[in-house]
Amino acid sequence: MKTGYRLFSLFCWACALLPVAGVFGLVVFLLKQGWGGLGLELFFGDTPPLDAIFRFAPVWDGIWPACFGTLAVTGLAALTAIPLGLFCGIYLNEFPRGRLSGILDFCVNLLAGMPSIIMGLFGFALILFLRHTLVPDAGTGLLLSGFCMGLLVLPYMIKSTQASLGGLPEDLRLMGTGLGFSKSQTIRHILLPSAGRGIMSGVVLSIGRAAEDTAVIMLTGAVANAGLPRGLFDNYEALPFFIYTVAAEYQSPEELQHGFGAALVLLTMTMGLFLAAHGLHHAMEKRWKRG
Amino acid sequence: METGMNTVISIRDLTVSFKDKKALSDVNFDVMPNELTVLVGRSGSGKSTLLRAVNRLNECFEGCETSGGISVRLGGETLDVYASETDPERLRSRVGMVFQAPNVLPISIERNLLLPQKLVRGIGGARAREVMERVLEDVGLLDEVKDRLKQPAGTLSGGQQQRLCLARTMALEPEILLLDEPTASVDYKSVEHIEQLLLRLAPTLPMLVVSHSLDQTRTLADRVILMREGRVAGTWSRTDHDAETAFDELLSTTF
Repeated sequence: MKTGYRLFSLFCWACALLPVAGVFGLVVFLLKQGWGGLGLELFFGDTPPLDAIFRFAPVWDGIWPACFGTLAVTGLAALTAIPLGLFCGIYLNEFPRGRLSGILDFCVNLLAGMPSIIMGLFGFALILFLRHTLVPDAGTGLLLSGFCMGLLVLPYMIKSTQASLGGLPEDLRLMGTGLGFSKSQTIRHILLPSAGRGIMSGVVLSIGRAAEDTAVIMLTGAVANAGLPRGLFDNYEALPFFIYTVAAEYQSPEELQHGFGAALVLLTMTMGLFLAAHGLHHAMEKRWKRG
Repeated sequence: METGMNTVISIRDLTVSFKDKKALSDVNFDVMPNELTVLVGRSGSGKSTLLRAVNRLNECFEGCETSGGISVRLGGETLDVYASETDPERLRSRVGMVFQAPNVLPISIERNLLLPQKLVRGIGGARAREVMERVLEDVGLLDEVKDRLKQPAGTLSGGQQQRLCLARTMALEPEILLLDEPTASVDYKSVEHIEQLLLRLAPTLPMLVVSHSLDQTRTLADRVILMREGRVAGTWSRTDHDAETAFDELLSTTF
């Protein structure tokens, strides 16, 4: 009995250690390969950094436009997926279950299992359709990528909202109702803040996924050397796409090092986004708790 | 629905079922003003369902069907609780309820009292704080919490939490109070505190209280309604002839 338990706990320990070791190994590997490539030159090439940042001077050999593009796509995806997913999750969990919620539930699961390349193809086909029908000069670009990416990560938001609302004790609902709160007041002021932590993990998952996915953006508007996009309908550069092209086509060790440097930057950027999301959640929770 | 001029709550032929399982059958009784009415009975006898029928909280449970009628006297007017034009949210804010287990929000003590006032009555600022202090004083909690109002309500003891819940309901200035075993999960000192408070409030605030304790029923009740298997099995009133013996007789079957 005792040895059995020991073996069991050892196994659990080992399993818990594995992801830590994985992340650690990955970061060390990236740092080793990419650290040397980090520097202003990686970001801006030959262009003076201040000109690039404040005067939008074109950057030819740097990843600055790609950083901007990735931030923009991730932001647009978050703008699409977070509100939509939140309200969808609320609908699925807080409204009486009918035939529609069954269908919706099924669709969300289907969407969650959709490979990202299919989502990219969908975006591409959507533009072709629009060109042939309503908008003859529609093209790929930031907005289309952001929308398709939002669709890709939408299930994470819906499922995490649904699960964290569903995990709340029934008393909490009854309490608000018993005090005379309307349904929307109960949801807004009691249930959503109580489920904040779970919803937040959905936000983090969505942001991470939207920042790294390459298949969707490849078919919907990311191109090499596009420079900074001039608008929502313009093509753009993106970090994952840059990394992908470098990995496939590099011609010198320096170029490869740039690719690793870009990977490090992407990792740092998503970390920054996570921290921002947590900070926001923390501030909201504090406001809810202390008034 | 016809009611006597003076009744505060009038229940007529009330039947409640959940998914075809009957929880209450043909319940009839009145709650008079200036009388503290206590509902007693074994668990599963329908006391809580009866209480929740008065503020239409049963509707939050799946498969609930209610027939018969309840009318309540609010602001000098008689309101048919189950009429289609009755707004259940407004009703619930005027007919306050305290649950068996303390259900404070995981937010600060003062926000537990300020948030409902703001959402339900639209009152904030200094006026809401005035109300907060008054109700905290009423439930005997002011001295215990006045220096830690910003702390999470979860740090209070069970008894304090229950008194906070009572204060929260009182802050909405209800015209009728429904209490579902308000002292079931609190320490004996808080029991005494809450009972004294209820006795003090009873002359001005009509109350319907579910109780599980013989002593408490004896202390509080002006009237007792004994429930058994979803029906009224007996009643008692302090004004009954030979009240003391009648009380013992009625409750010997329950406790």
